[in-house]
Amino acid sequence: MPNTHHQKKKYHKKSALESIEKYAEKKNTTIILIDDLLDPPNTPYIWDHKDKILTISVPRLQKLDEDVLLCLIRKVHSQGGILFNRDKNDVLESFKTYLDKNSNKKILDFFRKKMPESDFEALEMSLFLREQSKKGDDISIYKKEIRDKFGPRGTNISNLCSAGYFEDEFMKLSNELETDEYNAYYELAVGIRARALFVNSEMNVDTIEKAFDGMINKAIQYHIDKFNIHGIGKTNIDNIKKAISNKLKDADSTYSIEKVRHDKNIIEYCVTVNL
Amino acid sequence: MNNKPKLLFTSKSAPLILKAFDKGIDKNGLIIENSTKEPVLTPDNEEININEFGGLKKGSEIFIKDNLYSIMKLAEGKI
Repeated sequence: MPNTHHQKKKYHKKSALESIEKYAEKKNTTIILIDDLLDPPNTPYIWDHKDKILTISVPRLQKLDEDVLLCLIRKVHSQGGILFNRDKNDVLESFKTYLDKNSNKKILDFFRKKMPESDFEALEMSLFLREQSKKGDDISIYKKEIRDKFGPRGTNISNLCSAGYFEDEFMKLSNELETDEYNAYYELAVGIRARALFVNSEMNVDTIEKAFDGMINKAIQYHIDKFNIHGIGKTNIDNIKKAISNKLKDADSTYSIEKVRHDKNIIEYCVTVNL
Repeated sequence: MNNKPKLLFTSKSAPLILKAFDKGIDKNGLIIENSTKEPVLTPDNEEININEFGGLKKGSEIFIKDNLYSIMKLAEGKI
């Protein structure tokens, strides 16, 4: 004798799986896998017709038929769709939107063939982060990723980018100087880090003063007559002010220091070195 | 307009994505081919730990890390 209860359950399972496959095949569908149960808990999926989002409860569908889920995953891939971690999807979408806006096209087109490829990649990432930072996003984790990927040189590119050196200085110099001359200057600024000192939160007054002395030595060694000191945030600003005050007490005729910017949250000094 | 489907997974469901492609995770957390036990590589020839698994793209199987560099390359269509 047939088990009607079993037949009923089977029917629902088949129906649910067919619906999932049908919705997944629709154009522009986004499938979202979630770790929780839906409401009601026996529902394996929810279809949002308006936004074409198919939300699937992984534990529920695994219980019904994991093979359907595995087939679905393979099908998205075979159709050329991407499988992506939800935690990073917002960043991916922000990057796509940023690229569509093309807001830094002029800078990127200018520098594309003028710098090593890895520097250019660091610049691309830095320009994106600069835009995100302007919008108020926390970019600290990604600044760290630039350091991890490109080392101190990448961090310096990121800082120089944030401070506007690429459009305000490098672009202009590239147009004015001979290529060899410009490349040498670029390397001093980017590789040797002799053009600007960026103070970060891990630096105290003492380390800022030591870094200052290091910059003076580089200026003398490489014949660079000025460098700038940049700081963002109250603690960095206070520490820079104290360090500069100490350096002015010690100052001889080797250098002079001029404050060139002091907004609420940003400070910048220009140090002129008498070579 | 991009008509291709998109599937977003959670870190918890990442092993399921790997299972669909006959991949596993070794004792160090690296994503490996189940058949050979060899680590899979990104387009930059880097091994991927499950904790930094960003996703998978066709071509035939392109493994993507979840860092900004990989996201940039993906957004630019370079991977």
